[in-house]
Amino acid sequence: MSYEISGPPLISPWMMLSMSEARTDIDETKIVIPGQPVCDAPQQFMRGHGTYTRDGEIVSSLSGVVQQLNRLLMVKTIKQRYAGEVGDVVVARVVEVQSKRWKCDVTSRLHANLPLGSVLLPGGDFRRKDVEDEEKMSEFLKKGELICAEVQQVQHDGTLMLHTRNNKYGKLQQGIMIKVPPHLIKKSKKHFHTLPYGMAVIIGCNGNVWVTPSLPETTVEEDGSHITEFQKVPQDVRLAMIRVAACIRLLRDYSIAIFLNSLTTCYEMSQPYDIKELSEQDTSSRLAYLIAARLMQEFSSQN
Amino acid sequence: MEVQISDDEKLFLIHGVESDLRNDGRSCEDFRPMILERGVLSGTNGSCRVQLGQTTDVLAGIKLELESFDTIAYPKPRQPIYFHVDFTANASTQFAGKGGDQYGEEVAAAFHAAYSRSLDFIPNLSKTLVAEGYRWKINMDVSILQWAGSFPDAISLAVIGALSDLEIPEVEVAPDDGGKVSVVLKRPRHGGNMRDEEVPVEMWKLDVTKCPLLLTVSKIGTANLVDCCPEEESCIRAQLLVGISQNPEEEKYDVTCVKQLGGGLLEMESVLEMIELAQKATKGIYEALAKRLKTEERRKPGHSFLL
Repeated sequence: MSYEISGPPLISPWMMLSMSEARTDIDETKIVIPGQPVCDAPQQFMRGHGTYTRDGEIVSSLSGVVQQLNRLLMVKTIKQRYAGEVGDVVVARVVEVQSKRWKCDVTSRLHANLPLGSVLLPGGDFRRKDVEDEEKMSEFLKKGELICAEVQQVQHDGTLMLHTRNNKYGKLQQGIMIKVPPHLIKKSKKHFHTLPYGMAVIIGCNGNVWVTPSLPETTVEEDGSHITEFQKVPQDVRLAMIRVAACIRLLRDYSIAIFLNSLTTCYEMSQPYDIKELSEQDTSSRLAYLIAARLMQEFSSQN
Repeated sequence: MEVQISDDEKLFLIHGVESDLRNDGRSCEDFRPMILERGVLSGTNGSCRVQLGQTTDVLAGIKLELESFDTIAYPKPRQPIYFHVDFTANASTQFAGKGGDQYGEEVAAAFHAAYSRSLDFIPNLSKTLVAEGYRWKINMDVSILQWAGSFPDAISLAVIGALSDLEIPEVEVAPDDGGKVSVVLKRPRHGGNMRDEEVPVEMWKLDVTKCPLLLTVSKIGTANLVDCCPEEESCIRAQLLVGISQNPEEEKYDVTCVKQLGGGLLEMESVLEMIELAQKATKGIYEALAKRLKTEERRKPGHSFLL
């Protein structure tokens, strides 16, 4: 039993981090808001994405960071909805079953498409997909179910085409999903991680993080179908999963990038605390400060 | 609010709840950390903001009204607290337009029922009857700013917070022409040559130690739990709203109202179990609330909204 009523925090998490030393190395002249000139000498540069010309000046149309590529100037936003890139691993939720395709919510501006032809049906790679399969689509993936997929193509309007043509992708079963802002996800070679705590995470590039007892590829049977597990997750695995989930929420609340290293660092450093303490103000702020400092230190020692 | 959640996620959640370990690390009897702040609205006579787990966000404000009523139609003293609950469209798009009205009325009715004996459990509430035919009417307006589960719990905390924050002016009653009375604000005389309007009005406060808490107790699988988050609410079999008021003299927790929210069936045995859990939780929350009300430091109104 725990009942705790406290007052509002004196400062918000983002204010706390902006005061910490971790964020002092940002060049503030490179941060622009809409309507602000991007450079001093507009004649020498070309305008790129996120900019427009006004009275001969190159002006930002977004709030973000100025990036330069030879003579091209562009503005990249820091915080925005997920804009997919080919090859990204995403965790998506099915919102509609249509004819020959599923519509999925990937927290992007538009729903993504998963065509029937791009999924791996039980029975192997080269099975013909016929009308019968079309009728059984809602048996395979229902509305509300979670999938893990890869972005195959980005269309002109920004719609993503997904595919799950690999054993590591497909329907997700028991686990916890945590939504984080997509800009916190650090792109890396691997987004599937089996952690040494007896569980696994899938860090979707679209900001959906999936915490699960085991990765989908470990439950595949020979014919390509997934074993449906209804059995209870053991208590120790569940505890580890919940602690990892709490760690992800903590990293999210304090705007710390989410990748394998930050996650394991947070997990190890959270050990002295109870899981439910991690959502409390003073514990989490202290912990976040330490994690940010540790990560900065590791980062600077690598370079 | 509807959250999309797949059957497998639900299965995981239900198994967890049954083994007393929820997805955020709490046990079934734990509440999310609560934040309570009084005096947040400068335009009200008393106000309070309550946040549950940084997501459910409820704002309560009180406006006083000196009401004259017909003494023949209402010979007995009536309960002077009136509730109005408003679900803003920010909380969920389903409340846009008139979407939240019916729901708001339902919740307000539950609070009316729980506070119907307020004259008994707030000992000095009868003081709101200032004279024959005149009384202070306490208009309690509650606004749900954000919704992430178990909002009645948050509302009942905000209501108690606002009632404890409420300052009611002292009045002087003087007989007037035709058997009527005139009601004037009481301003203590300190001498000197201050004008009447500059002397602060004397105020008095309500005693809220026995005000009822309304808690939601939900049944998920075979477990009973308090303070559900939206994912858990989508797995609920049946939910009870239990109003409980503290009786400090006898160390007892009396049930003032019980209402079932949503659908589902409950056996008598589990109803009793759920009420018992609510009573247990009430005890803890009363203690935490009393501590918070005592130690609170006042800040500038509206400061916390900017964080």
